Amino acid sequence: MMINFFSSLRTDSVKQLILLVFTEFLFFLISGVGYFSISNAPYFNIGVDPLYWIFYGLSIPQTIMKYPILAVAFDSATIGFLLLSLFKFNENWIRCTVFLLLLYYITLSGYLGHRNFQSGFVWVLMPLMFKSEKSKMLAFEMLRYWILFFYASSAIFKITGDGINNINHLSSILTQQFFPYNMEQNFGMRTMINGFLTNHQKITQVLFFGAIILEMSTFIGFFTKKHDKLIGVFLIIFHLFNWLLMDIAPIGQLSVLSIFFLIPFKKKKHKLF
Amino acid sequence: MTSTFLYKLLKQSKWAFAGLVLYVAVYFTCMYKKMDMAFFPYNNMYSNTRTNELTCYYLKINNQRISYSHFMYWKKDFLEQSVFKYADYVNHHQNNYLSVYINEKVKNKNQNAVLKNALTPGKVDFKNWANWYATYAGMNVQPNDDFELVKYKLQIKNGLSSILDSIILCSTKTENDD
Repeated sequence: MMINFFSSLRTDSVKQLILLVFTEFLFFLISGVGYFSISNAPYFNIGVDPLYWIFYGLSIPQTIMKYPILAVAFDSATIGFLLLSLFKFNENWIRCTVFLLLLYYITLSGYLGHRNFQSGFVWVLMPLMFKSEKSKMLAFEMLRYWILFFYASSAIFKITGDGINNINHLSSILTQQFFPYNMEQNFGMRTMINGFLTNHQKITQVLFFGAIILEMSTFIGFFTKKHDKLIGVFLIIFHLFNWLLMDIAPIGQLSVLSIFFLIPFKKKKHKLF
Repeated sequence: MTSTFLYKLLKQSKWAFAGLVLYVAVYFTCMYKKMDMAFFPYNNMYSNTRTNELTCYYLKINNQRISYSHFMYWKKDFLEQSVFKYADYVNHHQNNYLSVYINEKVKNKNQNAVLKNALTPGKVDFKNWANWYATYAGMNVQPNDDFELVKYKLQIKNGLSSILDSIILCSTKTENDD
């Protein structure tokens, strides 16, 4: 069974996608932000968002946080449904998995206190909830446009915001981002780079323009699918630099970017498997 | 024309097409109003310059600062954001953003109370929160431990950091001393 699984993994883009989400979810657990790890947290802070209001209004995240046994159950259930979807693909398993991932994201970001943008691991499996192959492919195509818009709008905001005209813009952000490392005298390669960049504003501003260009590459995707892999590479480079320079890890977002590599958008026939 | 996404979607399902049009309309309305929601993310991160004041918050247990930068990314972020958000809550007289929003928008006392009860954490005792935070950060917490929530102002010159000022926002010291 395992040999069959691994041989099919090489050619099956859906399995590869689920495996990526599974790996990202494991990273969450290993990092120490699974339900069980953060259970008993007494403070949460949600914004003006009806989706959060439904879950918190029904006291679902609060109840899971209150009872560590429930937290363990939900951690296990999420892993369990991801594994079920991986080994025996079925739309119903996927629907349960997506619901559990969404609940996890709503709980995590509510107790984190702000809406983290690394939410791709929730959205990426949504297209697989549909029954027909054609619907799945259309949903993936919609997700593709959604990702393109997400990054393109970010580039537009950066161009129209006041940061673009301020030479100290990124260097002041970098200083704030690495504040805890400096405060705790936790020095390493990244803090060295950070120290260099905060003192060389011109170089830092060039990097800011570089980030805008990488995000703007998504505009190409609105007109053609020929360069999807290149766009995917650019966005991954953007995130890796964010990690290195800004201390914002892309864990949670990488799986959704993988659709630029894994989903055959250019094929005329709607076929995933 | 026949190969465009919108055409294919319309051919597949009129309802899906209508849903997409509605989604796009709501998304643009949200963006116009600068609202950020899970399904309608307003990704303007780092487009505007922040204030130059460098501040951060730390919880102290028995005068020892609980550090978090050595943890893996998500846990580090969780500890950093938790202390920041709780300090913000303390600074606003134990109100978070949503409770202020509900107070502004919902004038009916009963509805106001129901919404706040369901959607906000209510009054979160400092000792209770500090106990959880310190335990989560891996500290061995004892019943008589003292906690302080401290705001730091920092300056960085030529790559060297120094603390300019610090303010204690909350403390359990007086409670235990009494």
